[in-house]
Amino acid sequence: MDTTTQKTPKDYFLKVLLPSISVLIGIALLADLWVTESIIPKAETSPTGRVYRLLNNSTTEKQIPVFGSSRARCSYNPKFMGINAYNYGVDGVSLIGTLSLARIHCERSPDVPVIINLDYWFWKTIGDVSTFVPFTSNKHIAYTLDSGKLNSWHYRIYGIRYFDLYSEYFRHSFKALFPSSDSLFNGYDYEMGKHVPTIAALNSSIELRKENPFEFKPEPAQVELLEKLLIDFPQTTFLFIKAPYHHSFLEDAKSMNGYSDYINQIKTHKNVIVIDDVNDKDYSDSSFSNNIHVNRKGAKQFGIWLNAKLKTYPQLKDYQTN
Amino acid sequence: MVLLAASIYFYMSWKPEYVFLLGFCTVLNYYSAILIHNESRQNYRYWYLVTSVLLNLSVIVVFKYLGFFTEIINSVLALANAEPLPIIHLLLPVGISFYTFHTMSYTIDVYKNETPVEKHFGYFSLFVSFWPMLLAGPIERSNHLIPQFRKKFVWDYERIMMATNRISFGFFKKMVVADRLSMYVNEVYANLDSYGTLPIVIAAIFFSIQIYCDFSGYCDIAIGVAMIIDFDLFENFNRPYTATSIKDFWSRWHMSLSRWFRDYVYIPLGGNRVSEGNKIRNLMVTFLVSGLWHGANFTYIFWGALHGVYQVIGTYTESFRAKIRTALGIEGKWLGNAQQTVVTFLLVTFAWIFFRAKSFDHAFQIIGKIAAVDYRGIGEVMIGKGPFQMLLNLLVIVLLTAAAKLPVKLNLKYSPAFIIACWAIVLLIGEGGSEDFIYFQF
Repeated sequence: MDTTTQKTPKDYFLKVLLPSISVLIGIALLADLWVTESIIPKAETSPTGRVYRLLNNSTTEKQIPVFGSSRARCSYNPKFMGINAYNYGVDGVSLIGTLSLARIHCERSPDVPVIINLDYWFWKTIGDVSTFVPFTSNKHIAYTLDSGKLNSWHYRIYGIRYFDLYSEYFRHSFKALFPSSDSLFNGYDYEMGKHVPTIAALNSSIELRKENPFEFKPEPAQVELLEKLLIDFPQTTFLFIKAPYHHSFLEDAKSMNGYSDYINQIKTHKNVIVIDDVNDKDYSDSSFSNNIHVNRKGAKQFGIWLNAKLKTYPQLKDYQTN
Repeated sequence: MVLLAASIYFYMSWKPEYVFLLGFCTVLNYYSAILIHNESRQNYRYWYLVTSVLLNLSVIVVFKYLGFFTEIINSVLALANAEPLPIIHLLLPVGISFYTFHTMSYTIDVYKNETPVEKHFGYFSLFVSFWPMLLAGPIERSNHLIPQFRKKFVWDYERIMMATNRISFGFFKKMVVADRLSMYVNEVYANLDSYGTLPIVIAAIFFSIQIYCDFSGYCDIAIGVAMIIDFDLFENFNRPYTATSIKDFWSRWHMSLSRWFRDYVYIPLGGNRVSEGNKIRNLMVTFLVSGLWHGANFTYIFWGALHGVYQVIGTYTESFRAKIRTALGIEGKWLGNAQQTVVTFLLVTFAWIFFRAKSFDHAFQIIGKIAAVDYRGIGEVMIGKGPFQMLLNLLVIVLLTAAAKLPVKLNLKYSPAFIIACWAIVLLIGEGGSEDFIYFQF
């Protein structure tokens, strides 16, 4: 008869399951710690890195933050704008997310002017959730996640909160290993998320817009939030600037009177400057990645144009670099 | 009883009303088999079987193929300038193709006296609805599964370890490999105009790996879960991409379905024991039906037909190809086997294009792009989120291959280290399960 020890369910739980789970929990916590403490702070060009910088930048350096979505990220290159600025553009983030980030800045440095990129349309999604998950303890970030209905319970549990998101953090960390000095500057990053050929992407976005002409439809809740920000921080100068669209974007557009009303409403606030007179037709096809995003060449052209504009505002005098 | 209740609850958690369909198939086949068993007159037995099979098939036809067949009829009516019939699209009950095949095979086996009739309604219901295999197989046989319901649960450390490993590896295959590669595949297949030849070829190869990991991952989880509660389900995969011919591929891919078609379609048609012409016919019919089983679309039928043609050509050119290999001095050697494996993989990958495409136009657009040799630069293969994503894709394929090649001597596949490694990789580079299992749609 075989007298070797027969392993019982108790053996299985104590010698296999429990140690395995313990090791896995250890790995999960270490990975979480590594990403939070090492990967994110170093990947300053990533959306998460930008938010990290915004939340943790305690230097006294006076830097004008630029907020907005991917249009902001790839349109505002501080190198050409002639002011000391930092681009906090986050891909896909709605106006709610933009305003939350602006609020974080204003609460800390209300005297520093803020640039907010003007978009023609209002959406509710907030882009990649990985951007915000490490900072859910911040009430404004939590609010942003709530607005996109993405504030899952597990984002508050260390060890599992980055599940499905690690590759995004690793990707930015990997990208940071190969910096490209001419394409990354103070948060500015011209790259589009998809590595598709520019001409094909531009043409397909133009075609799509032709088939579905744009209609201006403001979102009352978002407009209200914007109003609240402007009222809550009267000492902050808010610059609302429209980065260029491809000239085809507004062809056959509907309800554009609504846009004028929206801008006029913003202009009623004394702490607001609106610069939305960029001429889209000055930008050729070769300046665009698609019909709403300029490429590196377009960003340079826009930055130089903006430089001249910004010089005319005395509020920005302390921030001029050239 | 607990297992049956769990199985029914599991099925109802998807769409409760379709439990009636499951119930209908269960009752239909339970009583059909008893009637057949109790009937001594052969012609009565035969007609009971025919009625039962037709009713089973009508369930699939109504819920899976009604819209498809109506469209075909409408295209004929259009030729005659007649009014088209209204197209009714019913929501496909998940697992319908699998459980109707379970039940049909049982009734046929009872008719052929190849399996004993099951008089215990509870056991039979559990055979139909046993939850680990209910949604996407493996397609079981009554004489293999039902006797297991009667045996007592026995604790076996080795079995539980093996099951835990199996489940962990299944999740690795699904969440790390299949779902990651699907991002590349989905992007390319949805935006063909934006891509040249190389990304499309890569997407086609990735899809071959994706569908294998998706389905075999599911089977690993299903078999592992059943193993924990002391049930042994059929194996469904045996390293299919190491096959050296299409025939060999089908003896390794979705084995439970291949066996089903062999036993209930191919052999009843005459199998191999007929003239050469009829043998080809039998093969083609079996593959066409297999294609149709997968989905109500001509692309699936064509996919099946293509495999049939592959197999026919493969069978009749086998000796000629062997002569060439012999002349080259590679017959029976590593290089000869590798050549056959690569060719088989490429043929299977080509056929998957039709399986994955939305329509014939889409499939031929893909093939046209590949044939046009539209080379747009190596950078273009870095779609989605750039080179890092591509590196991860390659890494997971390497990990998958490495896992398959772990030396048996090390016994790693049956150790806690393997479980921990699988789950750590799932945690770090796994995708969040936004993609359903591909075979759930069948």
